[in-house]
Amino acid sequence: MLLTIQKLFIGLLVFFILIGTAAAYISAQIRFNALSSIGNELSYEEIQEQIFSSALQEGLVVFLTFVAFASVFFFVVNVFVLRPLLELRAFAREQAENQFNIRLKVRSRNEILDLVDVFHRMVSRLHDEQKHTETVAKMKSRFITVAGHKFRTPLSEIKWGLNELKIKGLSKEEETTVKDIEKTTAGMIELINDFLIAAEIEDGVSSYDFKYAQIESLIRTSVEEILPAAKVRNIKVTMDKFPSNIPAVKIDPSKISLVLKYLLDNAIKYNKEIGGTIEINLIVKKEVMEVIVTDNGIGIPKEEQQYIWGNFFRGDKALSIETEGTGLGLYIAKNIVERHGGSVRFESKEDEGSMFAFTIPHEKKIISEKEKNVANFLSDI
Amino acid sequence: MATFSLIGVLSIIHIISLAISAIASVVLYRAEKRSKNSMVRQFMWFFIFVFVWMATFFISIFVTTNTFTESAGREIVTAHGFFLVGLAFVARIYAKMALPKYEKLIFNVTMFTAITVIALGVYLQSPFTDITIIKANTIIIQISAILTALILIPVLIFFFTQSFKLDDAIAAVRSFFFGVGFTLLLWHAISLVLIPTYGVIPWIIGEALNVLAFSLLLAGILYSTPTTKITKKYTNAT
Repeated sequence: MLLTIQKLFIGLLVFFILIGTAAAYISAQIRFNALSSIGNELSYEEIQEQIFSSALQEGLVVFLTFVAFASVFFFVVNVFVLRPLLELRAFAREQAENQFNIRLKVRSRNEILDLVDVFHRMVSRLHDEQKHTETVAKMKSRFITVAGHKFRTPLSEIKWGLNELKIKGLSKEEETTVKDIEKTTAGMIELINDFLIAAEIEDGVSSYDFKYAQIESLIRTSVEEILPAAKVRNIKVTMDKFPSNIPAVKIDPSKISLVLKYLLDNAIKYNKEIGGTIEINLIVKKEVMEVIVTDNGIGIPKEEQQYIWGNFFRGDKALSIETEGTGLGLYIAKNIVERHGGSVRFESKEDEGSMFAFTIPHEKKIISEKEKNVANFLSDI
Repeated sequence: MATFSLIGVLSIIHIISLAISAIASVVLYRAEKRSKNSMVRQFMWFFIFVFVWMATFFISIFVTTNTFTESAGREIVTAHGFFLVGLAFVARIYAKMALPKYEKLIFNVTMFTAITVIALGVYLQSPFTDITIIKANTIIIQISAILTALILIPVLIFFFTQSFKLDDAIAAVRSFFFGVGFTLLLWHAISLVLIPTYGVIPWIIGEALNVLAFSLLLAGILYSTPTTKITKKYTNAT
């Protein structure tokens, strides 16, 4: 908008100059007519000199007047209105990137200064709020990390102890009990792992090991891992034939496997009791590839859909079906995908099923040589 | 009297254009040292040749004891020759951005044409032909104007188009400034063609517009987005 105004002013300036030029022409024409009517008293050279002299003076006066007015107008508007507003916009952008320590100093002594003042107050309050929120979040993350590690150690010992018991030999009753404990322990370890991953994401300390990998092999492995659980619940898992020549993508394979695990686990957990299906597709688009997991399960009620990517959120219906779970899976999945430069989306209808998809960029946006040259020239000056 | 005024006006105009092209050359020289971008270097060469163009004109007018017409008539070929050589660099920048495959070809053709025009002018003014200086001058001016228009029309269209296409605000505004600047330079070329029909007035205006054109080109070079100023002394903030 502001840049458009600047362009408009330049356009007006050019327009005024053209009017000045036209005025000079008209002036010359009028003088020529006047001198022609005098007759033969003046020679051709004298007429030409007089026309030239008067038109030059009048034309230049008109021209310079317009240039002066337009320049002064443009200068005043630019210095006192446009530039402060552009500075404010640049300032607002920097604030948006959390550079709260910056203060703007404007030359303008009008409403814009008030606007800047209000903006500073608002930013200060936001800064305080943000600091408070960050402190609380850090404390929470630290607690989760410490508690998580403290819990995981004894749980791992229990798991190890149960394995020892199984090796020594157990009666049928004992074996059933041990299996129950083993299942509960594995669930607990998984839960704590989710907490720790979420805490890492919130602290911004998640480490990624990016490497080129074939995503279709990760999908196959993940599907194979969930097949036993799907079989237990009589869920039919189908994978579409993957497209040929799938490009390698730069990903952290362990993290993407985790995303696939969360999506597939949810598709199993919240599927129908009878006739459940899960479909996995991989679509290669121009710049990204998209992995789609579709189920015909319970779906997500419309009023809950806006919260599903948040942490610790679990829908009422989901809770009634599956009491275990942290509500962290989709939150972690979204963060991992976004860290890869991709995006997540879903569609869901209650009682009809859900479709979750995530994209991973498989190549950098190709910039043509022309575009590169234009951008370089105009930015390098 | 009129002749004196004209020389005075032209001198002022050329001094301003001279100063602008000198500043632009220095700014571009520093930018080229920083970025090592060949297009920036070619833009610098354009301004250096504009400087030489203006200097040749200015010196010829300033040192002459003859009338303006005779003086300008003798120097106009050489002076415009420098401008045409400068334009060859603009054509090269345009070619690199719009038609990268033909960059060298376009540059070589425009440079060759510019040199040919100078050679033709020198030949027409020489004693080997019966053509008068004024007549030779008119021919060269018209050829130069057509060549200038052929180079500048695609260039200004390109810059205007880019100013609306580019996402980067600084690049878009710079492109717009260049578009307007080259449009005004084109007006100068058109005004030269109008001299035989309408006299020197459109040319004088064209020369005056040159100042504006170079000012806008310089504005484009110097344009940058205002950045926030960090100050701890700002008392309005709570």
